[in-house]
Amino acid sequence: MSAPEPRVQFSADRLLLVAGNTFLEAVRQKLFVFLLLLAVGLVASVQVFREFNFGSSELKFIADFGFGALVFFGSTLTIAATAQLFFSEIENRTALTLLAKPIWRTEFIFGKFLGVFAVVGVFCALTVGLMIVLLRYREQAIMEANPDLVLVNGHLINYADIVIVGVLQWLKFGVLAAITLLIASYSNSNLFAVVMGFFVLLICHLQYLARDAYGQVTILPVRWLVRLLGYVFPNFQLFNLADLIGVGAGIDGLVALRVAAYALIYIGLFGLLAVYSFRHREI
Amino acid sequence: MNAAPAVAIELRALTKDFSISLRGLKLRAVDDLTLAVPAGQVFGLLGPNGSGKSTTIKIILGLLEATTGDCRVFGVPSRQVESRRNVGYLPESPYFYRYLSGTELVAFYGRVCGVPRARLAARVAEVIDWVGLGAAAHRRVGTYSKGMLQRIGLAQALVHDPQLLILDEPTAGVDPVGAAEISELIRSLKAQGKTVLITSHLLAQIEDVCDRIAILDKGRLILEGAVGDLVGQRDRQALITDPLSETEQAALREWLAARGHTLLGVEQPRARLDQLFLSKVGRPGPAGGREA
Amino acid sequence: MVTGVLAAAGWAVRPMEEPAWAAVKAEQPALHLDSLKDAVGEGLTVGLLGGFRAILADFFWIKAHTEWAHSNLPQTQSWLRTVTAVDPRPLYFWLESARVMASDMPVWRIEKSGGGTKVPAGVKQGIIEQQAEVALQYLDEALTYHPGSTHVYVDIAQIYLSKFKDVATAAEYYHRAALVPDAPYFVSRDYAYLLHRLNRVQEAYEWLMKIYPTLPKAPGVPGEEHESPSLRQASDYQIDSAQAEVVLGYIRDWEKELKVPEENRFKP
Repeated sequence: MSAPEPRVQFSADRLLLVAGNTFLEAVRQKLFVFLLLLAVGLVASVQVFREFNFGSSELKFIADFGFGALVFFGSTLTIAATAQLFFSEIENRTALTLLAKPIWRTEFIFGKFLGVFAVVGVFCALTVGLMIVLLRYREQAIMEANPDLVLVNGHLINYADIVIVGVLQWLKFGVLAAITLLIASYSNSNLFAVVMGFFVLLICHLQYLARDAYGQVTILPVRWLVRLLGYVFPNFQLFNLADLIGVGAGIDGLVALRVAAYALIYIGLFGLLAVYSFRHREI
Repeated sequence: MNAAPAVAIELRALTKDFSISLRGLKLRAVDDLTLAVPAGQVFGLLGPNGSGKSTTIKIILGLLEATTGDCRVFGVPSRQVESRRNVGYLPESPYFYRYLSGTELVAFYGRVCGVPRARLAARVAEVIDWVGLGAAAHRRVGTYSKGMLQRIGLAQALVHDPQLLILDEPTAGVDPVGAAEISELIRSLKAQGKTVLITSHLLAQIEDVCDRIAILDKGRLILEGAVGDLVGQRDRQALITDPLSETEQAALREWLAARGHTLLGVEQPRARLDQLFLSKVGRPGPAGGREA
Repeated sequence: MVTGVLAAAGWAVRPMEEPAWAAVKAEQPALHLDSLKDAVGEGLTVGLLGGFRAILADFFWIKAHTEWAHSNLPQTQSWLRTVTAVDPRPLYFWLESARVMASDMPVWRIEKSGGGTKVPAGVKQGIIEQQAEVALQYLDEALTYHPGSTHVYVDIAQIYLSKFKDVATAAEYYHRAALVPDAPYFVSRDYAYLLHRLNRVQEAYEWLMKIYPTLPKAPGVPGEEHESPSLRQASDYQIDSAQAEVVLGYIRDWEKELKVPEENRFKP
């Protein structure tokens, strides 16, 4: 018998390789380009839409509209891209070649995650970046037209808050990507993973109701079920800080940090569960 | 340095069941398979479709877990990542990341396999040249023909210089010229001392390159041994001459009968069709020169 | 197994998440509705559409006004409700919609029943009050999203006043509006005026004496010298809106009406 093979150590380099390749594949997909153009196009066209704005102030409207595009198309992109990039490896059998190499499945799953996370990061950065440019442009015009406006630090809107909300949305998409990856790791079809991804997205947005309802439910088994639901799913409503921009004192840094930590914990947790589920998957 | 183990792959009482219904109904794809692939040889794993060849290969590569039994690669259990360190794998009808060039693809797998960065570029160029894709190295893999895909697949399997190559139907869907080139590459690998496990249903090609073969049917091992032992007819001999007339043939029969031998048949020797095809189309050099 | 791990993790992160959630939720009235049906709808709209609902609501607003131009009551009503269901944040939508329900819709219904001259006065008043009820219910809903909004209180008061001729209830709502911090100055004046209409002159007089010192005043207006530093920073627009001189005029008139002895009269 030969001496035992030295252990194959977990390698960040391999993980990043998988991530880089996933990113490359994603940005070449029509879906990414389509959703990005749609979101960026919509944000850019806010100039036209503001003509129809009745409800809120112009800058608030631009920020609202921009984050609307970010949340809506970002969620779609995250779920669709995660499922697609995972199943393209399985269905095209490139996973067969890759996983037959000395690579840990943990590296594969987290590599896939990081690739998607980077893609969604680019999406968020471009959308928020464009939004900031538009806000600056309109802010200048408004300030010139109304010299007696009350400014905070020389601005009508807090740009740091815009960036914070953008980053937190990105982290929320990270949690969503990790959840979709967990679903994909045990499901047999892309469509199932996408449908379930959207379904879980809905539940996570309604999770807060289960927490609120817990105290009001009197039937014991239902009460426990509601309580369980409140604990099992992460609270996505927590990331909804866009409404706080330009309201009162704006976004509290400590609150933002807590939300970010919450997202990172869930990304790690769902990622590890995806690895656990994928570890014994037959390729 | 440790001496290379005499056995590259060792399967002991390997069984693999797949669940095919929610009621617990199972399909046995591999049934109590015991097999040893000696190091340094070309070993053919043969069998009809559904005989368990691909399942066996996937277990060897750690892509599937055996239901029972043991599978070791160079002595390391195949479910451990370490067992794949010294293995190169070319899947059946390989599909690669279409947007990468041949060089990028091989470099990607090279890095996954831990080829040091300092040596990577040289090693990638070396294996791409070796499989005869030098001129197409910077083209996107999406533009490659089937034969070229097999060869870039071989290059990625070889990039980290593994001792064991597992080739799943390497000539499936490839034209005879391409198939001959791949056979040539396999012989060349053997000459380098590599162990090659190859599955194929094109028996003539297997016969040409394999030292040993095993035949599977319905997951069970039917036959195993050296090719020469299995297909050679030791109680027969063939003499090949220029054409003999009827009279000469009769004289020869008499001569043989006087010595206790029998002339069992007279027939026209035939060239094999693939050899005829290759002689007309032009056989490539050892490292393959054709690229499209 | 997965459910167990997630539940344990949810329980473990709760102490870290709770303070952040309390802060986020406090700023979003839409997230603490009592009715489960409304809360589910709001939760999903807020979560999935985010700020996108602003533009969606704007489009529905245009749609509502297209129907409004055709005096199409059911369609207008339905689109107005859709607007505030999609985006309940802008107060403007609530107030304008309630005004359409209370003031435009009765006119359409009367027109449809034969016109102002043909419909008997009793029937006309019935229609007006029915529509006023619809608007009041709608404004009650507005208060769940904009609790303590001066503008909503004032609009409710206006409906009681103009549609039901109910001065007492109107005064009550003006009072609530006036107690909201930073309420516009006119609200307090109007409250006093309504109290006076209800013959609660003493109350009206005392109310104005109470608010007079809080009003910013132009130079030379009595009491200006006692103004607090914050009032001294008031803009011309605020001074104009506060109309301290007019308020003082009312005080003097009502002192006469109440026959307040000279020595007990208000001294700014």
